[in-house]
Amino acid sequence: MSKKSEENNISRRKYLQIAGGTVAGLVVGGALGYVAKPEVTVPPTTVTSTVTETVTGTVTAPPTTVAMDTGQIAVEAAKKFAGTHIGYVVESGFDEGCCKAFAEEWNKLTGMNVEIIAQPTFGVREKVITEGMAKTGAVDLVNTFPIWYPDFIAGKYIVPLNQYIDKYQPDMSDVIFKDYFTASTWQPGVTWALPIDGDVFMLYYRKDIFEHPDERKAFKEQYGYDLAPPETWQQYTQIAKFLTRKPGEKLMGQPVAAQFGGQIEFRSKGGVFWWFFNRIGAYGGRYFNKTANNIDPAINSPACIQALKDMIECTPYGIPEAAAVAYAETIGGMEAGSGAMNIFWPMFGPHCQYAPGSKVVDKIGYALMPGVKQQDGSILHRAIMAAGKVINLTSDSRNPEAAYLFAQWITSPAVHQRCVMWATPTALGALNPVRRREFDPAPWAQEYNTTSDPYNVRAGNPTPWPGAVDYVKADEVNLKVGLPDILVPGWAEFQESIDTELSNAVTGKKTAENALNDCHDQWVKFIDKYGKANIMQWYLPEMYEPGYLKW
Amino acid sequence: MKSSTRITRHAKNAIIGIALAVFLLWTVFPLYWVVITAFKDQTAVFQSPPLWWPNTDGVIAFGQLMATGVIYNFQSSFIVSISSTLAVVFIGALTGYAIARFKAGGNFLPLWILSQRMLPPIAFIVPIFLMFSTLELVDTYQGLAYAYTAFNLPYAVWMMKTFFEELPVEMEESAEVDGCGKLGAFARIALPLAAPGIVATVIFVFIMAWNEFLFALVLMRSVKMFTLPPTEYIFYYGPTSGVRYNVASMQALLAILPVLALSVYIQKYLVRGLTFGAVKG
Amino acid sequence: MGWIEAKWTRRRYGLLMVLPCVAVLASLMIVPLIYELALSFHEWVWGSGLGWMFNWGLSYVKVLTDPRFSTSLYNTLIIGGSSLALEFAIGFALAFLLNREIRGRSVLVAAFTSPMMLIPVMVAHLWRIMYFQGSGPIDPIVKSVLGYSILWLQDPWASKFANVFANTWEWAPFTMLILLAGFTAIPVTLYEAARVDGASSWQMFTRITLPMARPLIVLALLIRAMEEIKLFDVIYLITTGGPGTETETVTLYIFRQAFQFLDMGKAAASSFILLIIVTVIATVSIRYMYRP
Repeated sequence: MSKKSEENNISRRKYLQIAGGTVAGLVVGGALGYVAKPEVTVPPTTVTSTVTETVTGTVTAPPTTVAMDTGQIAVEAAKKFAGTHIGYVVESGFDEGCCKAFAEEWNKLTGMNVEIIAQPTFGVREKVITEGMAKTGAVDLVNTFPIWYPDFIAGKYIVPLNQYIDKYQPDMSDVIFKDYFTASTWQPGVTWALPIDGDVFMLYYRKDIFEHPDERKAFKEQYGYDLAPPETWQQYTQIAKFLTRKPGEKLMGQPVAAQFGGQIEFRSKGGVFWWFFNRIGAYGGRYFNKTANNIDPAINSPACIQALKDMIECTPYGIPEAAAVAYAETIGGMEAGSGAMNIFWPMFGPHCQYAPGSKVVDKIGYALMPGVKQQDGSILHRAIMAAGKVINLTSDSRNPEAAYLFAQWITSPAVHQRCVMWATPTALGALNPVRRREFDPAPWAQEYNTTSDPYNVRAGNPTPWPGAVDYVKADEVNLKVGLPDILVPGWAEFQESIDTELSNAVTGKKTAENALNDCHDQWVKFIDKYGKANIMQWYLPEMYEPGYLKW
Repeated sequence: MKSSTRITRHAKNAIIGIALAVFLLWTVFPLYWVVITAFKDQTAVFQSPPLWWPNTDGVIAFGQLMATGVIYNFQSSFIVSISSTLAVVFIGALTGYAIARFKAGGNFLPLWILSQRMLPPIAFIVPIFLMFSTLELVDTYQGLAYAYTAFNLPYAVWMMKTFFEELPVEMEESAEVDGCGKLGAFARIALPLAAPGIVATVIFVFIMAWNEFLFALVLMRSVKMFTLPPTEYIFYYGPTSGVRYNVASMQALLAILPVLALSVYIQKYLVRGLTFGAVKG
Repeated sequence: MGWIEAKWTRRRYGLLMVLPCVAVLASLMIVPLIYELALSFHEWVWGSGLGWMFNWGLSYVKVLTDPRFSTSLYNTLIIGGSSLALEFAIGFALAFLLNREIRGRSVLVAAFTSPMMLIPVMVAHLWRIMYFQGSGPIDPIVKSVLGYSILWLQDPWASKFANVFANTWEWAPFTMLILLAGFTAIPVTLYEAARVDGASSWQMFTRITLPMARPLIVLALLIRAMEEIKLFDVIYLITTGGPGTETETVTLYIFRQAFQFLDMGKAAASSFILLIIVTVIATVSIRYMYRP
């Protein structure tokens, strides 16, 4: 009996303690919040609807008579920083392999100590913010996706590079979409980054299947036109349907042991939104509708709904559990020979060619993204420029100038040309062309049509890659019709919302309309949360029109 | 009657044997899959229909794994796990005994200790990271080991407490009468008798430290200092690196070996505890 | 006088012995806890350039009215609850089977404990490879037994159970270990006395083993229940909370708030709601444990 009252006493005491703790916490928290609140500053911006070609500083003629490559200039200038430690955050995997190798080369040339800090893709942003908040100085450089610009700039985690660009004059003359990559579009005259990677989705297909006489004959009979890389999304679905084979059915004259997929695109939650955005451009869909005073999500427009419906329609024409295909399965499946068509980043090209055990060596063709037939009979092609990377300098870097010099070197023409051709066993195609001259097929032919390695970019891979020239040509045509990623503050929540709803639609839980309408409603809430003015300032509708970005 | 009991005994043994075999198969089959995946080449992992036997020798995956410098990550895992386990078991045994025998802290203390484990670690990360970076404990072995000690103490204390409470008090009291003193009774009687429990606690705590992922990811910075779980995540997850399942599996195999060795080595103390119990009567 | 003196020394010893533990825990848990509690009453989004903004507990309202949060609680209950039940069923069965003289028992115990030793990230990778149709071994086995395929990674309910089975496989050894330690600590003499009295092995199990191991059973239940609620690694890598939100548990929800959206105020609020739920469950179980 007494024990029970003792227990009651104790629980009462505990409740009092908890209540007291809460009150104390409120008081402490309020005080902390009051003290910790920094000044609220809005980054300086001007809302422009026309882009002016920015001129970064005055050009002074170099004192020497022989013009030095801007990369070499960086090397010379960096020698005085020998011994400095620089932390460089990159995406783990391919970027890591390539950047590590070049960092080592730089360390040998200059005596500096650039260290690669690898993070999984969506952990890069957290790393920068975590270290930036604690002002540790551990991260100096970072490979950023432009979609993080609004967050990084608002939180002041990165700094503009103008002072260093004026001093060291990097060669940015032939960078494609320069103002987009450097964020000068939003703040003319300010250069926030040096571009290092031009990502875009490309269409990959099994050349050997498309050229096989039996398949060509059967397809022509059934559909009335020749079997070729699809020009419209409708043809894409038809070809996918035609080329899907159940176990036992014949493909290229041989029965298949397991289901063969006409297409094995990524469809799983955790990235499917990019594959959806890849389609909406051609249908005329947009991310937002912006008027003078308002901004409203446009991802549930009829165009977008149609794009999603077509995407859902072609999903079953793949391998089993097509709606769960994620990165490993889409890459691994293609290389194991389970798919006929795929849509992925440019790194897929070298990867299919050089991955250990790849069964599709010399069998992959590269093509322009399918499009949608317009009223006037022409076909509008758009391909999403998913991610795309730039190299930023963090605000809490202790050695900004030394870090900048490394960035200038790795993005300089000669060095970067080697970066984009990199295809070693662990870094099978890392960074992608971002300068006009890097689409010139000549270096690619020189490097990949031989078993020697003139550019020193594929140690241990003597196998030639005859398709390399077609690959870089396809990269170019897809970039030319590129649709940029959305840049808005708080993008992470928008992304999670559409990713979830798309996953619901693809697995059949919701219809396409319902999924996109639900997403629209959620996006409206996020616009309120992150500030309508803020979002309107970052979203420039003209940027997403075809042909707007300067090549 | 005698023959029927013999038959039922055989039948019973057979059923037990079959049941154990089924469980063993269920336990071991995924491990078998890890092993063969480690020895396949990168693309063969995704072959359809699946390969039930590796198609290449494992030297390739092993070579690639070693090339990533994973030996440093093993070292890091060892240092952090062993030191935090020792600290936890030491402090935990003391605390558990005090609570079990001396009712230290009354009813409140054990509940408070357990409640420390209830908040999801994710909620703690931000303040702990800020604290640690101020104290310059980030990217150090001692920082992470200290964090692990704090995390695993609650479970260790409760496990020890429960095991100590199981022991009859008479043995310790008679030892005290013989002039052992409180601590002597603790060290010479209670600890050995609770050996199975201590063994289970050691294994559990070591595994928790060895496998912990979130804080290792946040509190370590340089690649050489990462313990094994974040390495696994960073190197084998995501769009550009999520394909090398064979190397990841090889790393999984190597990572399980120390823990397996530890548990096999300690198993005999589990058995010794059994005989202690038998002698007691 | 001897009794009072003994009580005083006991208290002194007791306090001294618990001091290290309290010190360690307090240093690392109290300050962050207060910080988190305070944070949960503010709005703070990393990377927005703004600091803490007091919002009168609005974060709690936002979380509780978020349909995704209630879905996550539901998912946690299903996935965590099923895992717990299965882990106990299997762990119990194994501890029962192994609580006897068997040749090579220590080897068997080590073998059964091995899943627990794999790093959860790797367990998740492993099971994802095994589940994926076409290239995984599970589908041929399931197809030959059931006659049709289960879409483990795509179907709403199958994906929940995909996580349940992976989780159970990994953690059933834990319950087995604790229960076995409890079972083997029971003195053999009790069994011998019972056999002399003519008890069958089933009676011995239910009347001797179970009651004596009861505190351990509840302890194992408690620990595993709390761990199931906090389950994260495995689910994040097998299904990432998908398809849609079918496998998004509470910790995944908190993770997204904290590390994807960087909305720390909301993350703190949802963490505290979780804490309250867990406390209630734990308090109830502990009361049950101490019932005579």
